[in-house]
Amino acid sequence: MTPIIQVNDLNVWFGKRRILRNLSFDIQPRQVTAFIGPSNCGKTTVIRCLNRLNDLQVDYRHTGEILINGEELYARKNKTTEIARKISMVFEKPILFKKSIYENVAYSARIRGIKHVTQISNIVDECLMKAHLWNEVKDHLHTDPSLLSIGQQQQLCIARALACEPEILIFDEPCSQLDATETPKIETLIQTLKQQFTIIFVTNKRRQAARVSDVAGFLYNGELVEIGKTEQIFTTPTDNRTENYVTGRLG
Amino acid sequence: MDKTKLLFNIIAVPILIIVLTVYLTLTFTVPTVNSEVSFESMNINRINLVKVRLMWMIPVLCVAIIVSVVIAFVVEEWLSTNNLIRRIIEPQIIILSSIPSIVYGILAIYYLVFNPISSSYVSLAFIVILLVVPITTLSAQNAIRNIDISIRHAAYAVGATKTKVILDHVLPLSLLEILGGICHTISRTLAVAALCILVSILVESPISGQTIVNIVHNIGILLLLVLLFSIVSSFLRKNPNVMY
Repeated sequence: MTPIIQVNDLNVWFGKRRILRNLSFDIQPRQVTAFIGPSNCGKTTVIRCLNRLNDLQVDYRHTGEILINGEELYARKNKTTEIARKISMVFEKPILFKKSIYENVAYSARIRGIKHVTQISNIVDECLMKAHLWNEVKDHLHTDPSLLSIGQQQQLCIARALACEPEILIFDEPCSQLDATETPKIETLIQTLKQQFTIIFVTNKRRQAARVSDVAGFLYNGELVEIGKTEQIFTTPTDNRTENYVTGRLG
Repeated sequence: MDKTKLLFNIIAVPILIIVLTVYLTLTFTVPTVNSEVSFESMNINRINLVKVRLMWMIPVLCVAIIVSVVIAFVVEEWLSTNNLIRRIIEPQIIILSSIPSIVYGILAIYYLVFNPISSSYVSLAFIVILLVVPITTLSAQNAIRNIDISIRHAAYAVGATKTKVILDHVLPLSLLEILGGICHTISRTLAVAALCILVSILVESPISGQTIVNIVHNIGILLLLVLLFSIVSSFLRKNPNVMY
């Protein structure tokens, strides 16, 4: 199978600080790939390279190549905004726009250039259904989203990301702010969404990565120590550091 | 805060500006300015001359405010922190904004009251720009900086362009703070104008009963406007950034 993302020899610096070292990996379509590792190991930097959010940092620079469907991500002709539409991201904290529930989702549709009200309305309904939020919000679409629970707010962020019609969905520790009752909802949602999208997610919860992902990559001090099938990473890791991490002796 | 209240706040500032303009237009009579008038005759018209000059500064004030807000957005959104232009502009804005208004007041008095015939509109406009631009820019910059960076990231993450992010999120969320800053600046400018009119009345000799009425009429209303703008400024700046 042709990988949807190919990363070759990626190095990232913020100023003089080197964050990522010689990262090379492939991501297959319609799979959940998890990046695990202790705090400050470069997990978020990796995923922010994939949708070029790091470009917003003043002192960011990188070497190496990132290919999306065989096309260089940082090629001059590729506009950041178009990339962001193909590779949508859900953040650690649910970041909602200061708009109603409906407008939060409709915003992404409008960004895509859709102007017809009925079409936007259909997209909003569809995305809220896909995000398993429709039943909870269908009667108060035009109300303040901050009244929703944190888990529902995160689902709303997922719905907003889906409204971009992305090929790849990136989740940056999506359950870190959620309690034990809301985490399974997001995990189930990720499992459902992988039928349609390629999913990359970052977590520092080992068990969650084991439950949700098909492929797992272990990052340590900016280095991709190991990447492979989740089962293999958690049962028969080839590197000592990975073994120490998955068994809880490290991080 | 609901939409109606937000709308009220946004409309309040233009209304105040219109009220101020109407007041100045109705109150100030426009005398014929003749550069060859004698000092004695000029002395008689000094107050009116000062008023006319001040009235002509209203468009300058409006342009200066718009330019300041544009500068703030360009500096904050387009120039990175280590950009050379930003590194040059920012310290100047901070230094100029820390100069007390009385300094500009003295400059304005020199040009308007004691040297009214020879002083050009350009020099007066320059004083207004120096008085308005740094403070408005600084307050607008602070308002823009107060917007959570994560809002920008969330908008970029769904494919919004920089212009869209500014127009859809940064500007609406920082608008009240920016308007608060503008009100503060207008209040400062009006205070300087009041000072100029007060001095122009006082230097007129002899001080008649009519002069006292003039003082009460002009300075009183100007100071009330100063107070009004100041109150609106504090009110706008305290409001939370809620938009729906």
